[in-house]
Amino acid sequence: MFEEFWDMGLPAFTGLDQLRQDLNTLMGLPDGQNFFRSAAASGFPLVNVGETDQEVHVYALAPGLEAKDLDISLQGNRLNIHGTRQTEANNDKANRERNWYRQERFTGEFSKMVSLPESIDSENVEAKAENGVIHIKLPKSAETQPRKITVKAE
Amino acid sequence: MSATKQDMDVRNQTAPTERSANAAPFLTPVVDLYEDGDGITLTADMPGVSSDDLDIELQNQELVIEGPIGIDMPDNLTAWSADIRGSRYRRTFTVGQDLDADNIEATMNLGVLTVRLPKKAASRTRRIEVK
Repeated sequence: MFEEFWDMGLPAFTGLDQLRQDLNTLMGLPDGQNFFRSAAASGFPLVNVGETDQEVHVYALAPGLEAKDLDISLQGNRLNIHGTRQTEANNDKANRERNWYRQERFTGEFSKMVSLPESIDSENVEAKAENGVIHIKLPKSAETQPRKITVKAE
Repeated sequence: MSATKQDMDVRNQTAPTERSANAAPFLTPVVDLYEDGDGITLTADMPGVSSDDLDIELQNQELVIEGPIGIDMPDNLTAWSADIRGSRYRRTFTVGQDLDADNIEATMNLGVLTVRLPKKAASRTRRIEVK
């Protein structure tokens, strides 16, 4: 699960992150929203990135969307995730009869650039979605995979 | 449903580890919330939660939505960067007494939860035709 996994091996919250989180708590804002609007550390979709020896794994949290709704492109070790999500907030006709209390969910067009730890074999990228999480599996290019060196005994 | 919650509390108490002391708090799902003449509609982004794992409870005008993120990840994965850290969403809302608790409908689709809380008949907006 994310908690067990993402807590390991990553630096703890930096001072600014902590301050941001404290302010969010103070202001009653949910995660993924920023008290400092300009310091958007998140955006849509939120993305977690991990790697194994052979692959880079990207988990994009894109609720309401399927893999086919995303336009995924790769330039060097930068992955771009582009798409559009429409929500009821855009339903202008119906909204005449509605009183909105909260409108926190992302709506509209998005483009998110994700830095990847290694260069990728762009021919064999796979993406699949489950429950609004798009899992993008990117095999590392041959030269960046660790090579096992056999030491021969004399 | 409340049994699940109790089980969780008990587990947290009986297995105090360093990790649980530092464990990330619940993730707060972002929501859209509007009212119309017939009721209230709540939409929550809860990516990674399946409809089977979702927990919705209404008690004493308090609506709780909760669910774990269940994602299959390779065992030997190491983290590179993370926008979110946590494995469970939870958020609580206070709702009015004029809602019909017996007829709440919830659907979960592609990680988006939609809850429709209808108003009791007496509280619905009646449209008046002006002649």
